[in-house]
Parts: sequence; structure tokens; C-alpha cells
Amino acid sequence: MRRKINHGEVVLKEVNGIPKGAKKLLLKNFVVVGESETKGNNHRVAVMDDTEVYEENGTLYIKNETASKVFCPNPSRHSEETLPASTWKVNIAQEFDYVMMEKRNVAD
Amino acid sequence: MITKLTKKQEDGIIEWREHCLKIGRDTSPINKELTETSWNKFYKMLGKKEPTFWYCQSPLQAQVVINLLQQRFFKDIFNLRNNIGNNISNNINDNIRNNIWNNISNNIRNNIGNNISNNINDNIRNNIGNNISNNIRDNINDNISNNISNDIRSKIRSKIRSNIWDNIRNNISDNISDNIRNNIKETKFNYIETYSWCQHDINWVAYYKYYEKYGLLPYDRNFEIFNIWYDLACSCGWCYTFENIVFVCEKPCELHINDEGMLHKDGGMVLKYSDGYGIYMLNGVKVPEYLAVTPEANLELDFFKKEKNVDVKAEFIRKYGISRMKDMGKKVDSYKNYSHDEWWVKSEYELIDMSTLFTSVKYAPHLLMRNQTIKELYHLEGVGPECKTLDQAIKWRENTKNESYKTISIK
Repeated sequence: MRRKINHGEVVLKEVNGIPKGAKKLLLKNFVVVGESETKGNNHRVAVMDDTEVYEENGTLYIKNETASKVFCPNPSRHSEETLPASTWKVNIAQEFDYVMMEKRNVAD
Repeated sequence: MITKLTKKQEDGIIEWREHCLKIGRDTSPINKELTETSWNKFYKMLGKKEPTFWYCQSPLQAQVVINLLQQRFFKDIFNLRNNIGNNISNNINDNIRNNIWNNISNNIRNNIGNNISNNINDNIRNNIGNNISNNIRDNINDNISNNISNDIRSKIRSKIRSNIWDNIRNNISDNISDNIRNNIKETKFNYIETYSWCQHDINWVAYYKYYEKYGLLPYDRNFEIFNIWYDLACSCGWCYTFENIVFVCEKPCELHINDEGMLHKDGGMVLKYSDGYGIYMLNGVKVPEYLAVTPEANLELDFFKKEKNVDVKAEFIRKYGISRMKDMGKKVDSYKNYSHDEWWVKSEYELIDMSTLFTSVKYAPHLLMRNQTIKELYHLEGVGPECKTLDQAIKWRENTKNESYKTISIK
């Protein structure tokens, strides 16, 4: 069974591969996988020598040959966790607003 | 070449960190003499005449004053348009001078064509506050590299860095100064960026001074410059530096933290300046005044319904009471009905119908989850009205359709 990791509103789902046509991003140190609209304490995945990051239609994909990590700059709310070697699709959790009667991405 | 920390140096990491955290959280009055002496030293290094000092009670007050001074009349008085590039290379050693000169040149180029109000953001303030610190920091980094062996460097640097720089940054910069800045940015002012945080610069100042204070590095004259930054960190709040004038803010007069060192005040401002400006925070989360000051018994659920930020909502639940919150709804499904995933148990997943909170819906399923980093914290998020079971609710939240996943971690 494929695996998933939850880090706050960020859900990293294991996938079979990178979609054809996805654009490779050249990044150093880390990639932001979940923005923090209000606090600046975003969610990040460490980018190492063997980490590749791709983007297709606004969705990020991460391919890491060795274990990486998922973390926030300030770990008080979400502590660091290991991202095993694999290929991952980045999803943002959604919630339903019963005042506005609409769904939206979870925001912190 | 240092290959191992002495016991005094080992113990000093925590000792120094705690000392510097106190500096970052200090609420004592400005030491005007030390503040002015320190800035005069920097201006002298840059070949500038001594500035005058304008004291403000808070960063917000400084923003108001500087915004007013953007008017043409005041701008000329304070010489805010003066191009300083030709003068600045004097009185600084070659190493620093070359680096600063490059940055000054860039700034001048960037300034050409900008209007008056934009110019106020550049010029001396950038060059004193930002460039000196960055260039000196680079210089000290080289010093560390040259004097401490690679093997021990990687081990102790990460330890020192995490214990001093990162820890203090998390507690001071991220927890305090970022929140003040964000709060001020919510006003209608033309926000004037701060490059001299002084008291709240203490994280990086503390890191580099540790090497000097605990004898890990030989004497380097650049440490004298770090000592000026340290004196500023000890003596005043944020500063805004211009050609002829430095605006100096007081430190907060009140600051409250919880047992974990996070800014926290239930019932009032967590951080307050003498002019009444301040911010409200609960457990490190910036919250609206209403949530901070309203007694838990008087909290209205209307606030929870309309709030869009999950961290603020979680703080509402913590204050309101999770049991009281759950009692408002009707349990639809529970982790206790499943045994296939240990994370469902750890997260104490429950699906709760909260339709009693809403006048126009008959069924409003919400997913209740326990935070896996802060165990006493719960999240309650609405899921689609079609969700009748926990499995459906979690798949809906994570936008998972027919696939199945094994959870390996939740944080």
C-alpha cells in the first residue's frame, strides 16, 4: 500500500512517478510545500543533492533518493518528521465552511 | 585549532542562550546613553556626522512619525535624499569597505528614478543596518572556518547554532518581532522596513558573540563591531537609521510568555508598549483582541464559525474547552470503531455533526483531530456534507478518492 504523511494541512502522498510534462524546479536548501497565509511559519521539505522537485498545474512533486525531512521554520506547532526516499505528491487539506457554504484549502 | 569543546564552553551554550533570551525579552527602559554612543560609533565608521536621535514609544509610533516626515519640507531638513555613496568608503578596513561599497552602489542604482517616498526606504538605513551586519557576519564565518577543524566544526556548530541562534530566533524573532511587524503592516501606513532590530537582533548577535566570549576564536577586530550590535541589543528597541537622524523605539513595557517560552496572555495584550500599542497572542498564535480578552465563559461560537485560520480556531477550542465544544455537537463516528490505523487512535479522530451552530443546515459534519505535536490542542474542521463516516471525512479532507494510503506519520 502506498504511504502518506500529514504535516499540518500538508498531505504528502506517495505516487508511482512524476507526471510527464511536469516542470523541474531548481531549488536549494528547501521547497515550501505549504504556505502560511497568516503567520509565515510555512511547511517545507529539505532539498538535498538527490532531491528533485517538479511542478505541474500548481501541484508539487518531490522525488528523493534518500530520506529527507518535512519541517516548519518554527517547530512549536508541527515538529519535524522524516520523509522516506520515494516520490511524493503534495496536497493541501481542504475544509468546508458552513457559513459560506463552500470548500476551501485549510489555512494557517 | 580547536577540536573539542571544554566543559565551560559546553555549559556556556545554554548559559549564554538563556542570558540572551532575557535580553530579547527585556522590558526595561531605553539606555539612551549606550544607544547613542553605539550609533555614533557606526556613523563614525561610515564617515558620517553624528546623527540626532528621535525617541518613539513604539514601532507603530515610529512608523507614524517617519510617514509624516516623508513630506518634502521635513525630507530636506533631514537630508533624506542625500546620496552618500562617495563618502561611505572612508574609515572602514578594506575588507569591509569593498563589500559595503558594492552594496551601496547597488542601492544607489536601485534608487535612481524612484520617487521621494521610495527613497526613504533606502539610503543610510539599508547601508548601516543591513550591510554592516551581513558583511561582518560573513567575515566572522570565515574566521570560524579557519580556526576550528572541519570535524569539530560541523558537530559543535550545529549544536551551538541550534541552541543559540535557532532557539533564540524561534523565541524572539519569530515569536515577537515578526508578529509586531505583521501587525503594523495591517495599518494603512506606507510601511517603513526596519533593518536595525537591535533588541530583536539578539539571535544572530548571540551566536557570533558566543565564539568570542567563550574563547573559540582568536581576537578579530570585527568582534568590536559585534560588540556595538550587542550593546544596541541590550539598550533599545527597533531603530530606523537615516542620514542625520536615528529613530529609536522603546522596548516593550510588558511581555508575557507561557511555560514553553511562547508569547501568551489570556486576558490582555501579550506585548505592550508605553503608548498603548501592542498585540494579542495565545500560546504563540496571534489572535484577535476578542479571543484574548473575552473570558472563556463569555466566548461566542459565532467567532469560531467565522474564523478562517486553523491555528486561531484551535486556540478558540483550547480556551472554550474541548468537552464543551464536543457537547455542542452530535457524534457521528469515532476512531474507536476502527482498528486498522494507529494514527487514527493517536489523533482521536471523531466525526461530529455541529449543525446546532448553524441556522441554515441540518447536517454539518466536522472532523475532530488531536494535534500530534501539542497534545492538549484539538482541531475541528468542517468536511463536506456528504461525509457520513470517518473514512469518508478523512478522504474528503485529503482529497483522496479511490486510493488507499497507509499513514506513516502525522505532525
